[in-house]
Amino acid sequence: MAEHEHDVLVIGSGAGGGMAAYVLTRSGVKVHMLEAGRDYDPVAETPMFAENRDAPLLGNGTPDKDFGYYNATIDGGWDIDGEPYSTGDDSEFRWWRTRMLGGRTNHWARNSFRMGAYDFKPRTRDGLGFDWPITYDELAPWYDEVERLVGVYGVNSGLANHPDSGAGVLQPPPKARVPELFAAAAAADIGIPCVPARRAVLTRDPGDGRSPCFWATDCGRGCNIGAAFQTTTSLLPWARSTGKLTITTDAMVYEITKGEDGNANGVRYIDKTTGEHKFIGARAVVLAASAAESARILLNSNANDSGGLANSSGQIGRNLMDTVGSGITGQIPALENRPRYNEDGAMGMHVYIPFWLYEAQAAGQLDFPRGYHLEVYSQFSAPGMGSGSGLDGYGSMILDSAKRYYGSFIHFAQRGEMIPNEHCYAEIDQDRKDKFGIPTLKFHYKHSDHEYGQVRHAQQASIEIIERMGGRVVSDVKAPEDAIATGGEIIHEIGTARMGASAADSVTNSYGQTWDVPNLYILDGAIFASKAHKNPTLTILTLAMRGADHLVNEMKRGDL
Amino acid sequence: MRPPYHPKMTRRATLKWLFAGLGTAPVLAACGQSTRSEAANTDLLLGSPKPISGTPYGADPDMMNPRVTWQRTMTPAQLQLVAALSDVVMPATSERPAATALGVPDFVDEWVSSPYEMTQGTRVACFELFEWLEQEARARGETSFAEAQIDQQQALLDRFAWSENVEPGLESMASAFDHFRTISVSAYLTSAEGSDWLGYRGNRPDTGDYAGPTPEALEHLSAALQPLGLSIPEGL
Repeated sequence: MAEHEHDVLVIGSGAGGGMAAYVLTRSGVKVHMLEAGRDYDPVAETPMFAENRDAPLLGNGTPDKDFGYYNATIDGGWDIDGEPYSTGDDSEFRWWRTRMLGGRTNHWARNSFRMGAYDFKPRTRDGLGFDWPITYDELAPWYDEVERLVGVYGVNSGLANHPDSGAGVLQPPPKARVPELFAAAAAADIGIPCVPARRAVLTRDPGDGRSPCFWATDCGRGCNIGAAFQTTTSLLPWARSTGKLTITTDAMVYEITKGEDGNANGVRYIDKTTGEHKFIGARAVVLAASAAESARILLNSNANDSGGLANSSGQIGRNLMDTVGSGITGQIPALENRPRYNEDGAMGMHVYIPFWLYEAQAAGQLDFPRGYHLEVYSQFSAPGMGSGSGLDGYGSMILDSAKRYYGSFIHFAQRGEMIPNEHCYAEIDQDRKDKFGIPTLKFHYKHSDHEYGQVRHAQQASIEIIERMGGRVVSDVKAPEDAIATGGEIIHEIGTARMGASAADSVTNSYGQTWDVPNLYILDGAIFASKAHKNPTLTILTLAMRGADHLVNEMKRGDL
Repeated sequence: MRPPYHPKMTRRATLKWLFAGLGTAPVLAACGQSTRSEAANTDLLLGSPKPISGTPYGADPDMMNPRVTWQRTMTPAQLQLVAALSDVVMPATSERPAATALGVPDFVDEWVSSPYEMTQGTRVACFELFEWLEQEARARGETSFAEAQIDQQQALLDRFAWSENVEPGLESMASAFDHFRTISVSAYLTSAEGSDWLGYRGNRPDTGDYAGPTPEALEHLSAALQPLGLSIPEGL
């Protein structure tokens, strides 16, 4: 095997790539990371405390910056100039990307819920979808390790399929805000639990240079004190401090190459700063470009075989899933004109409603097979473009109305499990290339009654809580088919190179190691075998830590 | 007669407006149509607004130094109308200033002048609303809307500003006014003074644990829960 300056190439710098680089470099492995986007320095570039009024259009989202002027999504969004994707007939799918160091970890919501025992064996439980080749118990110590490293606030609530963390792992959650206390009181009264949320936001000093949250500034902008977890303030600088990590940004990878021995031997990429096509060799490759981009790279690799690299199972691109999303907003008269105080807190949610009906579901009492949680959003938030909406008439009373209603709305966002189906997949669009000449993806997507039934239930539960709060529903309660978020919109797309127990029907083993190419690991959301209602990033980090550790051991043993 | 409105640069003093240089460089294709029809129409009572110019700020703007990358395009007469209209919508009271005192018309101009498809619909609708108001004001009182008496201005708004009472045929004015109200009220509440008045108390760092609700806020919550037969839950 050829000698290289480095041992392992890591493609992508987000949750999966960042964790892989951290684990590998700390074990003495030399890593070269390739990131398609530009370099990004959160210390210098995060607009902490910047006011909406100081941004164009009051910071409102535009097609340039869909989530607002200050959002830490650079050169990305639903559409990237010159990097198109398409959808099949009768399909809708939206693909959120960033092109920056740290990827989507710079702006994610930081919601960090563990998957539980049921989530890893869904087929065993209800006969649908696929089981993972790993149990919760096997992954539990890795979750502990990741939560300890990252810093996650929350409490052990002891609820079914919502595992407790190890002793001393979690950091204390922030106190609930007034509307959250109100919602929790109402929910409890009708038998729905509402517990502290879990988010990757430090509330204690971890002693590693990051600071605990100081209760201001939207986490979506990124966090230059490192309180809200992102790889650019943690895993990447930590990996760099070993002296064993080299990062090349603006490197648009389009192919993983294979040697005659069947192993991956390097990567081809386009240097975006010069347009040059370059090759870089390696002893092993970790692919973590995000579920869809990783599938695209694999499908575009292995020119001798139109099926792509590591795809003897034919599963690459298939089993595409996203979290089921919908939402209901209520207005609560009892919260009108309530006393003002600083409700920024940890910016995101302090409490949430975990799925509470596993028993009823197992007993066949529900008309949908998988769970969901409700994220609870209500606070005195920073005024912006929306602050003037929903008013009627004119004159001094309209500002009085705005003041009266401020902080009296509550939104329940459903986040539910989707079951994979054969209509959901990504493939190479034979007719289209991006501005680099790389063939692009075409998405196919379809929900089923499993998802629609779940949406209906979540809507009803949200309405019941709002009514128990003495409130009125102000959002349009649409039919589930119309209420459900378009595929991809929740930005939890996963499953396109699923792990499994056998090379016949899966792409990787439980370590993310591809069956076909032993020195190629996939360590992003692509390897998920199911899409639990839990937000995926914590599990991506955990699988990446375990997978990278496995790669280290394989290398040490001389197997790779 | 109301004094003429002068743009307030102080409200957004940190913004660096981009005047010369970009000229009329790339304009979104979607803007082309409205720009052409505006330019062709010399009969507009409020004059022809400048075409959209400048560029979208792009997918990697300098977040630390926000900058508006387009010029304002409203005519002086439109700006005066918007000033008067903003103050009818948000008049001064004993506890807060009028809309013009907080520079609301400048933001309306920024919004309708921005080179995005999403704001261009609002531009067309709002300009039609402004023109209609001007036409009606002149037809009734032989003065511009900006110089009309407040009761005349209100009488015009009463024809479409209340959702339950829109005069048949004026539905598009009602919809345009709703856009205008959202934009102008948002600008008011997002200003430093408006935000304080509304009661936003955040964006201030604090050490230690999050302070959470004040005793006063908890007392209010208890009182709100009590008639519903609920009480503040423990442990949150």
